[in-house]
Amino acid sequence: MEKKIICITCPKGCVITVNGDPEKGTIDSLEGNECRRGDTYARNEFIHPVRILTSSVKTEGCAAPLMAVRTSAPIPKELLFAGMEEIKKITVKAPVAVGDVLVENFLGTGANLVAAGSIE
Amino acid sequence: MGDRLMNNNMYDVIIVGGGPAGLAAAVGAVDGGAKRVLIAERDISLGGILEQCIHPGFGLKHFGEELTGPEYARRFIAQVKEKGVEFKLGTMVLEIGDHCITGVNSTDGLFTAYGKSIVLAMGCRERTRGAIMTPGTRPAGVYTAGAAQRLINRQNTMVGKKVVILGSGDIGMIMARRMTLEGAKVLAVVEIMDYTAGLTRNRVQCLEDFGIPLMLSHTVVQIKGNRRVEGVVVAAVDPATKKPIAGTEQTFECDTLLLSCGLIPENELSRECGVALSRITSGPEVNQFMQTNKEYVFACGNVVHVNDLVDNVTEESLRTGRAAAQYAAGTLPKCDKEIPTVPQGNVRYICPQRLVPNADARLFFRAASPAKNVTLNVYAGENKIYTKKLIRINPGEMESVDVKAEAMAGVDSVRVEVI
Repeated sequence: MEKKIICITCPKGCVITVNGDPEKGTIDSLEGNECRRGDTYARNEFIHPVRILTSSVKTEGCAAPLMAVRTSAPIPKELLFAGMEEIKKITVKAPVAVGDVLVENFLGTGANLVAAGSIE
Repeated sequence: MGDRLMNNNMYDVIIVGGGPAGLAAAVGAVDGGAKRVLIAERDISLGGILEQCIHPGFGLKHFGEELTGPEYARRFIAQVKEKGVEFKLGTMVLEIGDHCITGVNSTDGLFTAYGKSIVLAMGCRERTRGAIMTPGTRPAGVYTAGAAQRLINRQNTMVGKKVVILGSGDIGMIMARRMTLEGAKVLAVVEIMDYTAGLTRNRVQCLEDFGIPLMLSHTVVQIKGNRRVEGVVVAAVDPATKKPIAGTEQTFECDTLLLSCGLIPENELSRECGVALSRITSGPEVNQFMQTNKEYVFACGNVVHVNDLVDNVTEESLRTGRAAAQYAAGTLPKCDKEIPTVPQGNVRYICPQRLVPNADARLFFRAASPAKNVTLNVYAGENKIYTKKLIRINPGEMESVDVKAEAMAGVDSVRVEVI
């Protein structure tokens, strides 16, 4: 099958045409990307779309009620809502520095849930 | 020396605003040789709007990696602290005077600080319901997208359950995704133009990913509800006149309407101190050093013209800070006769509006309307100095082109044309 994918890696928004079989995970041709990031994005998007998940968690021991969190790497798109459920259960205690790991191997994806903000 | 103590309110560069523009300007000022730099920030923390922009997509250009807003801000906050930049938080600047600012906060009370250069980095604010004149009652549940973003991402307050978003600006689309992830139902994003106002990547990852309908050439013609929003009426508009077409109305039952209808540079301070503003960008008119008509006043970031990428703000503000430091030291290139930049064809505006012809310049510009397979031409006087084919051009995405000082020698203007 052929699929047109708009790359979301950068604001250029290249339209990349991919031919292949997403079920088997094979790609026969890929064109339209202006950089290598586009190639990686389109391959993932064709076979198994992934996204960085960002949200915020509740805090204790500081003035700010919330602290921003993110997955350290993109995770499968179908896990975004499951990820939100996990994030809801988390409360962090100050101090937390940006980059601190809050959950290792988040939802078994290999990515960690890390602090994107900081609290003192 | 007694002078030292008396002079503790004397700075080389004073920066009004501690968001991405102000932070980068401070870094640029120190790198450019300024010894004492002060940032005055209204909020209780540095970082500005980045603190509530918890989504990824920042820093691809400047850092070569994908960061969230708070992460991007922290990289600059760390640098500012390391470089010994002074900052006053919770501080409202009331007035800019001759080489000075007058501000107020709970520690200093009313104070004056003197700067050899002053950098305006106040950013922008959102167009409100009043600014776009949406008819109907005035119930609770109507928010600008950025206000909702702050409430949800920083203050732990969910603003609604069933949502319609008016305007397809980036913040609106990002809030469509954010509210969906937080369990709300986003019924539609309604856009009066026949194209999305924000970036393509946001249309894909915020709307298409979650199956949120995008209604182009539509607008909200009525808000229903007395105490709380109960629904909005959406109608198609004539693409040419933007007037609603009778008979196309449909009602969406919802409890919340978010507005993402554009941003306006925040220039009360600039206007009052006599800085000349552009009628198109609503921001100060500047030269390539981001210097306004008052030569000790510089401006950078969204206070000048609304950017789509923080990376561009950073790049521009680093340059601005360096130029402000040079001005403070008396080493900034000058010339008696600046030349204008002139937008032509499908170019809505160019920033900077003026050029010092004996120094290199980067011109940022925006298209007036979306187009495909166009040609970009740059003329210095009558000489065509640059030409390039563009596959597409989009008002939502800022373009830039560099012009060398040699090309500007002896010419009366630089024109940028897209045809």
